[in-house]
Amino acid sequence: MNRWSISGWTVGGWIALLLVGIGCSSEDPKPADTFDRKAMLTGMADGIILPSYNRLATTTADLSTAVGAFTRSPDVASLRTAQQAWTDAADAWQDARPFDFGPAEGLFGTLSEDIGTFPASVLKIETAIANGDTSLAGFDRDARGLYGLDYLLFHHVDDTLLARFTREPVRGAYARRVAAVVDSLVQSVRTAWRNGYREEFISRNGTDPGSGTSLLFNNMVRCFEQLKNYSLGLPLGKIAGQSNPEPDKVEGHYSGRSIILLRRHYDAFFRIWEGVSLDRRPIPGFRSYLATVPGGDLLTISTLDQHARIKNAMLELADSEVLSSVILDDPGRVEAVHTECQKLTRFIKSDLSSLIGIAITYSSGDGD
Amino acid sequence: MTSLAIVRILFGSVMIVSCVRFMLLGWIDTQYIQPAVHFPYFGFEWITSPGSPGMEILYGVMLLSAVGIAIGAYYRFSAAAFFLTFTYVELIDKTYYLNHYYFVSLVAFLLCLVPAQAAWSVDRWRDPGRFPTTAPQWMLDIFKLQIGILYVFAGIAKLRPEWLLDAMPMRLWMPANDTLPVIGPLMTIRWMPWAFSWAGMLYDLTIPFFLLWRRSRPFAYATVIVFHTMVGMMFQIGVFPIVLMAMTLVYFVDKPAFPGSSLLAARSSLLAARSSLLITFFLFQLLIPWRYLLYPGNLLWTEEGFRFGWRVMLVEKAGTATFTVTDRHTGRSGVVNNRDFLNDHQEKQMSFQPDMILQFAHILHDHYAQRGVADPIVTADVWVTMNGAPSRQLVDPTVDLSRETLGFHAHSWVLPYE
Repeated sequence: MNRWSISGWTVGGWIALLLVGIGCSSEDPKPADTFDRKAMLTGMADGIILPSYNRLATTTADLSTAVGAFTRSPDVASLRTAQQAWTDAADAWQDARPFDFGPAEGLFGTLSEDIGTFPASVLKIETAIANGDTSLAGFDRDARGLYGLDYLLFHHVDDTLLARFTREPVRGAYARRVAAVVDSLVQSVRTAWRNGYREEFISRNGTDPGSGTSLLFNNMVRCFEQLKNYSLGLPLGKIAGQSNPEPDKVEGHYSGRSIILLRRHYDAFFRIWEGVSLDRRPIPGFRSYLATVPGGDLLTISTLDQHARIKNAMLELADSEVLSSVILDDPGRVEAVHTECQKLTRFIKSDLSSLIGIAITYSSGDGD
Repeated sequence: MTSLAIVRILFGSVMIVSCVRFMLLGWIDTQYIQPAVHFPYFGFEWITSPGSPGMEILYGVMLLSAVGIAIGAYYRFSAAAFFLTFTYVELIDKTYYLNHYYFVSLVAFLLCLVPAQAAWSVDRWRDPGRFPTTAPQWMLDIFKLQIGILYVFAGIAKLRPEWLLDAMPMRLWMPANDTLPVIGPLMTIRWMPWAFSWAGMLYDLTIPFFLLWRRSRPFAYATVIVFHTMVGMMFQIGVFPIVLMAMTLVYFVDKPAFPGSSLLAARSSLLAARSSLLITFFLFQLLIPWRYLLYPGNLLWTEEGFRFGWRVMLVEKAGTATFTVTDRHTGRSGVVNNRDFLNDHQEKQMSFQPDMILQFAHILHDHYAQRGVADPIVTADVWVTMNGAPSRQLVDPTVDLSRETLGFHAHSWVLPYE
């Protein structure tokens, strides 16, 4: 008797559940496509990440060679070659910088910290050179990396630079060492991606902390926040506690390339969201992911709208302009970019992670 | 007395696993030592992280006392030490608030009140004559009641249109789990979020009663296993599926037990004190989840009266909070990088919980005041998405949060959800 009533209730309950489920789902006109995260990760790895690291590795190898040639026989031609090599490497770095995870995470810091720290500390670099110390021992990341070379290769007019490098062989040795370390760090990250990490990244296609999806998402957000907080906020003096704008703290201050780098930095971030390969082919990205989840269409519209506002604000800055000068003379144009970026944050950070159920933490922890 | 011993051994063992896991994952360091600031509970601001090695010592004591509970050694001391160390750690930072942690504290408290060491224990082996051979029924029933409260309130919390009609947040959470072994393919079936939502609600509301009823008990326990295994696979909730799978076994131990053993009858004043303590304890638990009714607005949005109410995995929320610090004299303002102060977990939780936002604003005020910003004005631009809806502003961005007080009053600066 009792057994029967239990089974009766159970069966009845499940039938009711099925009916409710079917009833509700037929009211929902949108097909619940599922998103193929593995395809996204594969597309990202082969369409953006590996090509970016390949290009970066080529340019840092060239940079190391060119800095070697220039410092051993400083003249205008070899300086120009080294400066051009730096420009290529700094540009290529913007494309690779959102992928600061996996092999890019070293024991003492990430690739981004090792080669992308700015502003360079003139004091630390000059002190090391004055002491004849080219070991790069210690953790003074602002005395090395691409932006250390930005200072070394661009900090003065040609004649003065050439005179300094001719007069002080240690300066040349220091620059060679910095360029060689940048190159070796980049080569090892690229090698790791080619030798197995690509497969590991693609295979971890869940949404848990440490999955390829979560790493990609979190580093995309971090890359964007670095642009907003440091490339823009720091020189503008927008960081809490700063009492004034500090235009000298722009990224790539000495080469005067800040605005071009800023644009490339932003594009590197946004191509992950939009799903565009380095050679501009469409690939699955977070935009196509959003098309498969409830509420995703609305968020896509908001994101694209705000993206357009940022691009418009950036159009007010010309590649030929020097960012630090604009911040001094006409900060409104740079502040506008900062403000528009601020408004994008929630769309690409909390709204996105919430809709696609990605763990926003980098490390794991128990929740709820 | 063996029945209580089973509860004791199960709880102690799972807590050993839980403590060791926490230590091995390095979470003592990342959750309690590294962070520069913490979010204490109102009224418990005096509970702070002792840093290193104080935190390690706390966890060491916690682990030892869990062992003491499991093997029944120095039981009363062990149970009290576990309750105190565990609860202390939980009170350091509400970032890590979990309903399940609250449950562990409550069970540990109950274990302090019963002679669970009277059988199968080191204490008994050392001094067999000290203990009664039977326990009164209520000593088991309080654990069943405790588990029942957890489930029924969790079920009541799910009686919401969003949960039942929109299958939110299940519709967001399930597709994210489509790569799970065995149950992964279920996650992409279109009507499955509704089935999971309804099944979860019905499970929570009814499972204590099916566990109480002898005839349905085996089936009910099988359901407990299936339910918590699936939930454990889908959500990152650590050891807690195991805690509940272990603790619900208490429903199987209902051998008639007789009150009136010498020990228990002897000190009636102590007994009376214990009864009134227990009555207060459970009355408190029956009332506290309803305190949200005293606050205006949408509970899930304002979170006023949200915690300690068994609202488990009930809503998907995420926020982006940007704080601006302005010098009251010069008017110069700057944007705070939250990560300079908080770890990822803290930032994530703070970004949608108003009381944490206010605490953080006060922390920022004091920090920048020390750094020479004159009596900083702290404002917050906070956007929160709830159950997949486009994000809305949570906090009035014009209010100087450094001037708003912490406490149990309704926060006037929290914007309504409507």
